[in-house]
Amino acid sequence: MRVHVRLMVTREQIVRGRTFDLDVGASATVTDVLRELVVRERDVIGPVLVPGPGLSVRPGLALLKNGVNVLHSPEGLETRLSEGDNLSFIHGISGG
Amino acid sequence: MLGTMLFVNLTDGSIERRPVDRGLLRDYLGGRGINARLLWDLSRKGMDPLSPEAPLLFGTGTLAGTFAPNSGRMTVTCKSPATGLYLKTNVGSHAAPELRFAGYDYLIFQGKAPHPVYLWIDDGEVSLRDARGLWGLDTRTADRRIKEELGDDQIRTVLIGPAGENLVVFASIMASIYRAAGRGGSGAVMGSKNLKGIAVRGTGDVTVADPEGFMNVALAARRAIREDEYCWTRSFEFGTAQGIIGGNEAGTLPHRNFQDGHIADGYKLSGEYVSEKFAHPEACSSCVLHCGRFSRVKSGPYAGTFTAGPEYETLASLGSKCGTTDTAAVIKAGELCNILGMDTISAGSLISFAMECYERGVLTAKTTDGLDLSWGNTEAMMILLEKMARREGLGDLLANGSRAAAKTLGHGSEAWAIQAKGLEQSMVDVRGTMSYALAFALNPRGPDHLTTECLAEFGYTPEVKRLAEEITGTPKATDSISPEGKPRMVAWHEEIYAVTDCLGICVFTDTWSYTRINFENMAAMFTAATGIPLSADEARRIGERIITLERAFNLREGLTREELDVLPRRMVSEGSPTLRNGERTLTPEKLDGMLREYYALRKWDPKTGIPRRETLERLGLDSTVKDAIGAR
Repeated sequence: MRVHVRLMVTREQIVRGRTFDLDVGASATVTDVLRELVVRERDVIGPVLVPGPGLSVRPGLALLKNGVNVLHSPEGLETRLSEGDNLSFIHGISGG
Repeated sequence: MLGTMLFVNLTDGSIERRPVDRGLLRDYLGGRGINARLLWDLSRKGMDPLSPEAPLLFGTGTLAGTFAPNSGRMTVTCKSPATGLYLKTNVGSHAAPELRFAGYDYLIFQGKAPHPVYLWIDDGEVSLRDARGLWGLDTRTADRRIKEELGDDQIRTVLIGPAGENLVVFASIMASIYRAAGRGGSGAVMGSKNLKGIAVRGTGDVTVADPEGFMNVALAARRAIREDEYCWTRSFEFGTAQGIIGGNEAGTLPHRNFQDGHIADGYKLSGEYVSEKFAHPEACSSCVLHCGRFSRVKSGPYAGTFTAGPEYETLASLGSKCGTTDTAAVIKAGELCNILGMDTISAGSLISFAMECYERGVLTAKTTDGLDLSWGNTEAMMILLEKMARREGLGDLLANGSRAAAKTLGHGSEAWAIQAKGLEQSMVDVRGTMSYALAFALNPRGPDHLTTECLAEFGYTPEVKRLAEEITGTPKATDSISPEGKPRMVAWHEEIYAVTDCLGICVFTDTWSYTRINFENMAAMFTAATGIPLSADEARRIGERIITLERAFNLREGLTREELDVLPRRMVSEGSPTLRNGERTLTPEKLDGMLREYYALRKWDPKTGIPRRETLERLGLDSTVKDAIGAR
């Protein structure tokens, strides 16, 4: 199945636009998408992840699945994805 | 440190100095709190906000002009011509410290001058000067003329523009040209008094009771904020508009008058884009965060534009909400609002309301003075801003606010006026966030974010998520669609915002850098500055006292809870197509459930929303309050 990923964390990503259409397995989770991005786009996904061997998202960021922050859901990064889902990586603070 | 109040009777030109009462300062902490008490005492039920008897108060924060972090702010308080209700509005820049350097903490204006005047404060010398030559000028030109006239370019000004003179109900008061006491029409109150502005030059000191103790706690607070690397970096680099991307991705950025919440190419309104192409950071007095922007447009049709901002609210209200991502046009529209003296939130909301009326055929070229009000027509926006400020043609209708305009236009347009109690809603789609929904409904001045902004609901860091759960006692605190825990979330934020406003600290500090500014260090700074002992618990209780008194002002006007605690109709009657597939995330029943839980928490009557007598007694509010609101 295909999911759409938008990385909007660094100024460069926001102004220039970094979007990907990824083909992943039928029962893929957010973690699977992150793994795929680490393989395919290591430099681009770098600012999203805590440096190190594991896959954890930097504090202060939000990960929206179709507009809803899944980092706060019980499933977290193990949230399952469906065909056509939109994933957005953004900064969390807002407003003013 | 107790300071001086200046009572100015504009009708007869008399000026009286009174010392700030120590008991008043102890009970209300300063700024917003003292203003609220004075407004209560100086007003009567049913008073016309634009009448000479209506008071207009400027209250500097108790820590303004000191080394306390982000402390250069001032509260303006009056009865709002937009809502007919309580209005407090808060402004930064360097005006509040300058007033205190001149020796004054509060300015209380009453009456109406026989012709336009401005107040000139030159340290100890205070006088009213003829402003007939300034009437009609925009804030930038008037600021320059005053400095030329008085021969000092270091003077700080607080001015209204043509919108305030013309009693536009969303006219703002502009400090140092570009910083707005924006919401609710305080500029019109100033205009109704023939008061063009205040010019101040202060060369004295602000003294504190315990200099060493004060320096220790203030410096520790400054360092704590500065060491919050994430907050500091984002604020400094991208300002308030850092929130545009998140809102657009979450489907909650107002688009086409809140018909949906996502605009294509929304990144062009982002803080990241604005900072790269147009703006540099600029700070208010004593600020650690530097979230302010100053922008210049160097090419294209709006070349030559320069102004402070644009803030998140301006980019959304005059950008996506009107259907455009033309950054330069939004900066130009923001400049026009600043120099004409209009609130960018309401101005953009009035334009987008008119655009929706145009889309639906309620307004046509015949009734728009020939303007094509199609979504995103930025040229028409600029013309309409001028027309509103000068009350010309369609602008005259819109200058009365969207509630009044919809009432005149009819044909169902009331549903497209995104206002409650007469104030246009801030640029947050509350259908996506239940804390904001509850806070906006309860806000005595109307649905906006500057009395309570519950960013903790988004739990953007593990630390903030923990705090949200601690405040509310539930892990559902950061589930923004769930009503669970939201009444406690709102109450906590209301109280910390009230205390922060009293001290003159910027409320963004509370919620961008949670825990770095808190009840404990604010109480300690207050004590060290004034010599008046204050604990964290007592500070919080005073916050509750102020919130209750502000509600009492509106209850005294005779409004019921069903009239007071409301949201714009669209928020509770329509789902947003870009939010959870159009699901009705907020309903009247859901809002009512949160309100009732909140009343219980505050110990207000659950049926009427009126604070109980024992609640008022616990908060130390006197019998004039109890009797005026019929507390039982």
